[in-house]
Amino acid sequence: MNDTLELLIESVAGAWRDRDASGRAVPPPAWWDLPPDERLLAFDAQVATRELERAVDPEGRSGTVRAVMDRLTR
Amino acid sequence: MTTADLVFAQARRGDVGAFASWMALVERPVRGSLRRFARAIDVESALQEAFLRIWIASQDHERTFTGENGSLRFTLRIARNVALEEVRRARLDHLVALDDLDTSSEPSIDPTPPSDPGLLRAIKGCVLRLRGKPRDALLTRLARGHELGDRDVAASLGMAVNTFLQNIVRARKLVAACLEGKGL
Repeated sequence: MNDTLELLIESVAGAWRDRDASGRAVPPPAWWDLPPDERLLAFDAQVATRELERAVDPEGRSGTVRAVMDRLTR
Repeated sequence: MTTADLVFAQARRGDVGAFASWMALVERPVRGSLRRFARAIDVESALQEAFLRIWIASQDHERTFTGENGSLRFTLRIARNVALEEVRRARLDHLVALDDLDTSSEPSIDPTPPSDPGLLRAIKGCVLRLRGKPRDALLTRLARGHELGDRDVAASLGMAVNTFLQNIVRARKLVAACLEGKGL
């Protein structure tokens, strides 16, 4: 995998998502730059990142769980 | 009833903490069920949207969630519907297998092994063994990556976003090598 692709994939691996006017989560801009087959690698990077988050979080929660909780409790 | 169903019943009484625990229980199988849409949509966005809808549905007390794994089966349906909405909105149906565009079938519950506590401990050990900027970048992303975009996380560390991402990539490789060294 080349460096540019690695960085593109990494930039969609986090759990933070911007919201559109209706409040719906939208993909990071870099996601649209990924060719369809590389999006599967991005999916795998998201899975791996969630496992890392669970491993270091005191309550074992992933970034996805914490992002949704932020929305519900804000 | 499964553990997830029992925790979900608690969440239905308005307990958001129980809802967080329930999400942690079902997140892996639900995410896994969306892999078939991953060439067309950003699964992370769809999954968060699905969980928000489930919370709203969970507070509707006229709705019933019956049967073994009722909360998970309902969630798989909602997650698939959200994914299909995204696919159609982006007009990317051609990137999804025809069978997966069919909403009439009941989504199957694929066996997803639960998180292995031993593996999670090993991952944590390898992450904490990192040093320098890769450690700072990865630990800050893991702690704050749900509430801040990478640009803001990078700025909090005084790094340019590209440098930050390079450090994360480096950290990820070091963690993978560490786990390999432990035979995992």
